[in-house]
Amino acid sequence: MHLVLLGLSHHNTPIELRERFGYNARSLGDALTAAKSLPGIGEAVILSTCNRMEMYLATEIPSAVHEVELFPMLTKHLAAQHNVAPTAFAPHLYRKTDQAAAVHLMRVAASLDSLVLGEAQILGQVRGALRDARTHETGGGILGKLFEQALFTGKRVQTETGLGQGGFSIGHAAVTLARQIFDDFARARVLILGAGKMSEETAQHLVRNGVRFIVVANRTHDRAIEMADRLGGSAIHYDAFPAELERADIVISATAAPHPILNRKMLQPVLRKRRGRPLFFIDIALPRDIDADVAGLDDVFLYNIDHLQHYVQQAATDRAQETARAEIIVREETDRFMAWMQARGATPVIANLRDHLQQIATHRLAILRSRLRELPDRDWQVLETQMRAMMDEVALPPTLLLKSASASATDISYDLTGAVDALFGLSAGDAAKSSGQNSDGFTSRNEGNLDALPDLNPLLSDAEYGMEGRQVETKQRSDRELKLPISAVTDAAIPETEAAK
Amino acid sequence: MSFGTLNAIALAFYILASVCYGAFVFLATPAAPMSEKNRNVRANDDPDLENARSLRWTGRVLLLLGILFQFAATGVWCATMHRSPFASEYGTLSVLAWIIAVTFALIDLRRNLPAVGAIALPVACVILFWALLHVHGPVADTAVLKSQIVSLHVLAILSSYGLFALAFGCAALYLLQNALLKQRAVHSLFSSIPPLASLDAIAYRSVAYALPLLTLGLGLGVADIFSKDSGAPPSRWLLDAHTLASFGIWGLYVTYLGTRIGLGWRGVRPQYLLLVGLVVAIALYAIPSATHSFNSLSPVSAPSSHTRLQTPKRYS
Repeated sequence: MHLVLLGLSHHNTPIELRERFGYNARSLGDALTAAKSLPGIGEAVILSTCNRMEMYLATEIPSAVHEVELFPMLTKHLAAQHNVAPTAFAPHLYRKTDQAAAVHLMRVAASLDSLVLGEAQILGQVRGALRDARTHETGGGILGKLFEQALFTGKRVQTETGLGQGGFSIGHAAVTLARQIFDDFARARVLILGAGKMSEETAQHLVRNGVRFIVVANRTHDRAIEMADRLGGSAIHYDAFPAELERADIVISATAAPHPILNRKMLQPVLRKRRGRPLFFIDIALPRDIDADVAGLDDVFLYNIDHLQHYVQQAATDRAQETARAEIIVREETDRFMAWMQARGATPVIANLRDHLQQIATHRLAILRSRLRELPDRDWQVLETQMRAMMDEVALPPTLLLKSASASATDISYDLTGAVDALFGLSAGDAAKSSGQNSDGFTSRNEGNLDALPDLNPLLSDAEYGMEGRQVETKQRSDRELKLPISAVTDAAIPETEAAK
Repeated sequence: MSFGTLNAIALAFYILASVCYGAFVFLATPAAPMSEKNRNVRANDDPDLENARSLRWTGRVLLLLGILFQFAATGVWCATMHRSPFASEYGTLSVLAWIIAVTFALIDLRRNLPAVGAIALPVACVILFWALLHVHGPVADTAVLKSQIVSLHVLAILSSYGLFALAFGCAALYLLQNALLKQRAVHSLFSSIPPLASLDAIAYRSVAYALPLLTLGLGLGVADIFSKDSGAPPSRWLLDAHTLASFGIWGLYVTYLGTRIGLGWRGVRPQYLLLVGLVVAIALYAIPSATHSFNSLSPVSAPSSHTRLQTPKRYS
């Protein structure tokens, strides 16, 4: 299974293009289902924020054909879904696989890839992406684990570094820019369009810096009232906001409108009435709320989410130390995830090996039971326990070696997997099993009974269980039970076994 | 110490003060935008900021010394020549530079705007340097310039021009800041320039003080024209290029204040008016005038620092 990531982000994609790849709640579900239904795709999670659209996939398609088959197919899929020509966005599209994809998501969750370094909102967005995928049943074990690891990484970065403290956010940027226009925030009037979380955070920064007059307009008037209460401002009906523009000095716009709500034509009559008073627009919506041509008007200053990028990045330069610490955490957590991924690759082989040995034990025990009917039940229990313990001890060294080699994420793990498979004839066993034979190559005389036999050592049924603990437990039990006289029983069983072969 | 030497020392102080203000603007500017918390941390811990603050205080002291030395130089000149400073191009320009320096010092103490100083003080330096080049220039000695009214007329007009120069500086900074904000070209200079609202307010107040002074100066000039001692027919003064241009400038600043107060106009457009106003005023200085020229006003004395006054000929 391979991890694959395709994405467009604020780093390399202009906002005009990025906003065409946005998803709303309804389209996201369809997109997830459509992505998972693509040939070779097992899992899909889409992370869609105002700064990025990233599609994470788990696929069985071998990495050798990713470039020639998978990526062209996914590019075409995105083009068709968003009605954008592939040539328009392909140069901006970044594609990462396996470890690179994992590192990328960890960095995203740690806010190292964010527009605003150290911002906490991205964690909620990553969590939301995973939740959406699970709701639509497109996020399985691999992507689920990846996103959970990414969330853990983000939390570690928040708590173990100073990246989230004293950071330079959109709110800070808004305040700093507004300071270059207005000298007295106490007299400045702020209009908030859209009662979202980001607009509220931005407004809070302004309030902390002395803004006293805040007006909130939102399509759902109740939410406007709630936000206005929290900010100590007043709420107006959404339709009344054009009139409020005549009085406002700073406008924070973050509505969910699919098209611009304000353009040059609408604003010109307002500006005539304002008589040259500067008007500062902070458009943090995606798609944008305010048409770009507004920026050309005199005494209007328009900053959208991309315009803030450069400004915020400058602020990031004095946080190199915290960033370096966060990068170390990202590396640690990525290594942990990749170890899990590699170990996950060895798990089927370990499970096969243990099944194979247990089947041998079960088979031999069944033969012995048919031959040694006079043996008391107490002795049978000892015999069964010892037989299964023996198989566990046989399985233990290759299991430990496979797990440690896989976790080290080196190519040798794949050789070991193949070697164990070949040495124990596991593939042949699987083939035999599928053709109705047992693992010894014989048709089982009592196949149904064998399958029905209870697992006498449930501790060993989980390949993920810690092998060291299991080894100690098995050894202790063996030492205790070896005191029973069973040598005669085993000796008697050998000729019958040979005969059966 | 001669007035020339005193003024040269004043010029040196102004130059050093300009350097201090300029250095403060760049040193005090953070390399990157900062949150309030980090800004407060920097305010207490950053040695660069500490150095910048000392530079600023040094700049203020130097500016004050320059103002005092220039004042002394003007006093020595007046005492030596027994004339008002407006009897020569040197004295007039020197007073203009002094007015700009004093105006900025007052604004700096009150509004804390070092960036304005980084522009205004070099302007004062250039004017004072220009004055020093004319230190041995002609000194008019006419009844016209002996008149108290004429002295007040010149002083009022020079004061208004000093304030107009300040308004010009603010307007230039406003347009620069406006352009930086429009282009989102955020760099270190960006945060060193005062907010648009502050620049607009200072420019407006400068003009609000300057225009009455200009009106007073022009009024006194007109009054003098019609007085007996003017020495020339009123029409000759009134139709002089300088006089007409001065009224034009007056009209321009009246328009500025009118739109600002009456119509509430702010923003970019009024700033252009302020730029045009001073450009016209400077152009006025270059316009040949039959009446407002020191050469035309008097046969000259040839002063030195120990000037001996020649018998002036009366302008006719």
